[in-house]
Amino acid sequence: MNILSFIFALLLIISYGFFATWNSHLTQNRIQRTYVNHQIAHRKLLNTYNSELYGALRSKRVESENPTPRGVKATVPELNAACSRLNIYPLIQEGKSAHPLLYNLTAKLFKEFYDVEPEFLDLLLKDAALEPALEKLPIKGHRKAYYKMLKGSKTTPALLDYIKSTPTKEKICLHHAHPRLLSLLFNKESAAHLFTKLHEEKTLPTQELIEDICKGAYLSLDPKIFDLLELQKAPHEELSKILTATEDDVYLRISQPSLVTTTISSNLTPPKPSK
Amino acid sequence: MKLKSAREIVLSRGHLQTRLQTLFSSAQNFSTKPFKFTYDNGIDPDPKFCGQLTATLTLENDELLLTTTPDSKVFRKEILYKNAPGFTCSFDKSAVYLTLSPDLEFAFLLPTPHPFITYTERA
Repeated sequence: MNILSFIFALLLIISYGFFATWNSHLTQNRIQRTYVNHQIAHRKLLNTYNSELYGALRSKRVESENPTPRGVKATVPELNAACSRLNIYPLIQEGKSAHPLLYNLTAKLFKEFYDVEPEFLDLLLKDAALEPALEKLPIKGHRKAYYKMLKGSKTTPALLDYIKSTPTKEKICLHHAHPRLLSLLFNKESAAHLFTKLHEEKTLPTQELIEDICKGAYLSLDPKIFDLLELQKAPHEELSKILTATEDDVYLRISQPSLVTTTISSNLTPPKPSK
Repeated sequence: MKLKSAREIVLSRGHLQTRLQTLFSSAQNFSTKPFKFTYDNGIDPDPKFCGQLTATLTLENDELLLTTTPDSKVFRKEILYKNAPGFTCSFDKSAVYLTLSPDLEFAFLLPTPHPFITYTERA
């Protein structure tokens, strides 16, 4: 009996020791892997940055006369352009009752991108009334979740690529909008169709065209949505450029001031006025 | 053992280069004595340390330190390089130059359209 308990105690000590060693080994491995991936992502980011610098040194680029021929599929941009972000400034200043459509769209964005309820948006708007910089909002009790939204990942977009708070009356530029934003404003089917139309057809998007596309996707539009949209294909100045790099689970991004006054122009020519 | 220490030195130099180059890619408003600049820290878990921060490079106990602060009330100190006997920093319109010792110099590119190397047109 004594021997049995002795062996049992010995086995317990050995198994505990093995588990402790194994656990520390696993943790160490995880930390090492994350660190290495972080360094690789940093290196990639710096390479991109150096390429950007090199690109800025080059002489004036010669633009081709027909940059996007008909039938060529438009490439999906990596990030949503700065001119195509939802401006929640009116919501912060005047409240959701004054801008129900903007509130609903922003709530939809939070739900679809980050799976959070509208109560989170209410908290954000409350905090944003006191602090103008959206990234500095404390959002008590939800800061960790908010940090993840702000950071973005390989699968979820960074929040500040889709919303902004500026005291201007800028509308959402449809032409430079990412398909993700278009699917939020309309629906998935109409967004895909609209994105192709916007980048392929040599015509300006009109309210009628958008309504027709949405009808084709069985979507009835609230006409007030056009108050939020910019249909003109005007070029926009880029004040900063966002560079991203990924390596395994690590996702890095930096924002750098534009090296030269660049404009993201439309590759489509406006139609000639009919006589 | 020798290999390990050589690896440590290379890694620490690599870390210094990567870290400072990331900072200088959005740096502005440089000043000397002490070497100060502002940069965009982006998103941080602490809301106070998001966005524009002021950074200072100092030397304490043979360690090159980076001190960042949003408002001079809260600080973060980060060791950039150990065993640094001293350092000098200078900058021009296209780069920042950091010298730790005569045989250890670093150059960091700044976000500027000005060329790093000046080319002259042939006559």
